[in-house]
Amino acid sequence: MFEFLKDKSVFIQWSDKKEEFIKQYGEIKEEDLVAQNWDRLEKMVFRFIIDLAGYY
Amino acid sequence: MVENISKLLSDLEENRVLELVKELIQKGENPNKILEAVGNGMRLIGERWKSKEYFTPEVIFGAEISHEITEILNPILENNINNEEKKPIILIGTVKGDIHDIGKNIIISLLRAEKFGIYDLGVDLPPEVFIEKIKELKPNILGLSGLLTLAVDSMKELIDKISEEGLRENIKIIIGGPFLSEKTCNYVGADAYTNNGDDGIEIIKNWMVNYNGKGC
Amino acid sequence: MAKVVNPNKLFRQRVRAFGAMRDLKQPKFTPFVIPTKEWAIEFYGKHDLAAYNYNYSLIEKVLDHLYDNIPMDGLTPSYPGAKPAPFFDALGAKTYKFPGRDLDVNTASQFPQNNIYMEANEYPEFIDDPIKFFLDKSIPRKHSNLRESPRKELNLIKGAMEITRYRSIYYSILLKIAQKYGIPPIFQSSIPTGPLDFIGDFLRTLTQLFIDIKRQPEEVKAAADAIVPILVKYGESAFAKPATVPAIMVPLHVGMFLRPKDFEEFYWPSFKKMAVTLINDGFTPVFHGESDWTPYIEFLSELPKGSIWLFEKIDWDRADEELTNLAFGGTIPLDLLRFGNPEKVISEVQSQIDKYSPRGGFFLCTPMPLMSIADAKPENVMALAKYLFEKNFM
Repeated sequence: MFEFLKDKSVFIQWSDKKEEFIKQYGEIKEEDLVAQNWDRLEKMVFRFIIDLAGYY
Repeated sequence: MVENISKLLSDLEENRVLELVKELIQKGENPNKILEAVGNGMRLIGERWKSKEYFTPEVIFGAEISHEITEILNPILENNINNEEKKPIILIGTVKGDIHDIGKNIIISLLRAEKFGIYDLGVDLPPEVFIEKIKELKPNILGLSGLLTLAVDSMKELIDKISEEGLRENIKIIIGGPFLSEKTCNYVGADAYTNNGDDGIEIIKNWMVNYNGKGC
Repeated sequence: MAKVVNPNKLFRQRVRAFGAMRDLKQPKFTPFVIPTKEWAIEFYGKHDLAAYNYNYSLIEKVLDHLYDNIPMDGLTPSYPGAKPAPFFDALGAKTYKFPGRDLDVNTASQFPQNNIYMEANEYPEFIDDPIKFFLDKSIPRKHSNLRESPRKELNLIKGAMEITRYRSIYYSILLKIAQKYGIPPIFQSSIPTGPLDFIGDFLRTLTQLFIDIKRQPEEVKAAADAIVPILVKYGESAFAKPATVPAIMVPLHVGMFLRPKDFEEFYWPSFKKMAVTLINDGFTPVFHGESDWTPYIEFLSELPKGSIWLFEKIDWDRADEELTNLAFGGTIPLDLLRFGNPEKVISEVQSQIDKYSPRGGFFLCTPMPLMSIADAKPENVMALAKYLFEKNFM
């Protein structure tokens, strides 16, 4: 379940289909959506998982 | 043999005490005697808590083992538990705005061993629930629990209402919570307070020393 | 009042004071900070508590009113007065009881302690791969809208959008306040909790954890060890590079339930590993030790220099004498702020400064954040803040 969270391509999908989402997702910058910035994105996804597992 | 239950329970020897209980039942031991030994075991746990040998987890585990034993006994216990002996009644609950109950549950598990009639009302209780139950059950003691600082004002509000209803005189009130002090105790109008609960059991027992079936 | 002094200058002075405090050196003044959760909202007093959980920008006026009247030396973002309720709704989370829904509109939101997200027989699975366990088991159990359903991905995206919206509003407000009043965010980031605490708070409940310690001790220890690198990574990943001030807040609430020999066996090893790693990596952890830490003073003295402790309760004189390796605060009792008067508050706090500031590693704080307005009379807190501000900056 939620394997897609580990899948980087999900952000590409979001960027294709959910411009509104990108606009609102303040922490994600356009340049994060190019492959070189996976590190930063992965960090964010990791933090979100722990948030969900913890106080959220 | 049956006395060993108390010792094994207070040593938190879960497997050994459960085996012994099953063995005794097979041999036809009176289940009420076993229950009495469980009560004594919990009392020993309470003493070891008070002497700081045991901390909260040991009391919780002791209560868990006692619960397992009662589950085993329940099917064979006859309906003769309601012996007509009059017990002092304690009403206990967590006050309005606070949903925490670990402290309250520990105190309840230890008081059960002390032959009190205990009514656990639950958590986040508005004053009306307490007032209604006080009128119905006429308890000797009221125990109010709270973990958060906001519980202080809920306690005060409740005790003020109890006074307004003319119910305060016949009841001893003890409040429990980690942040309470003599000052907060006076402020809310309780008779006693406890931070850890270990001294709370003692206070309640002392109040009940002269219990004669009426008030304290 | 804060406005007459240059906010940029104040900001720098305050950061320096916290840094010196953390390094156990003599700061120019003793830093003063009180985390004010719902208290600040009631102090402002315009709306029900519940409203702030939905209308995120309302908090700006609350914080503006707070720091305008009560100058403090640090912002405490990890003690927010409100939570984004729509985010929890999107996920179907049962993490909190909320005012206006589960509780009275003016009662602070609360974290129920009785939700089990991991069964006793699942320790090995968790130990084997904690992140996988979160994704497959504990998160869907906790968030009903993330369980197997065609909409679960959408619900997750909805939640992610909402939390991002909340954070961007909250952090931009904090930034404005920080600039306007020259107050650095001190307890800025956070780690959910300590390693064994995590098992109790977010997987097993405290009561079940205590029983597990008796029944399956080795698994409990292994689970606490398994979560350490994850918590460290979480705490450190909030920063682009090691940052000493501001600091990483870590609330702790399981340790003090344990008798010292169990504390030594079950709590301390994994906790110490986490603390030492954070310190060695160049970060400053701020541990909020709930309840009484006096029985564990000897353990605490083993920590390397570099951590700050907010104690809810401890033998302060022993802490002062024996804990020469760490900075601490938490000495301003709530009873004093609740029942005292301005004169008494000021004289008692001044005597604490006289007594503990020579050690260097000391800051002024209440033992716990303020929740209800009754926790502390506003006039007492205002008088104290004014006294300290004039003494330190005028």
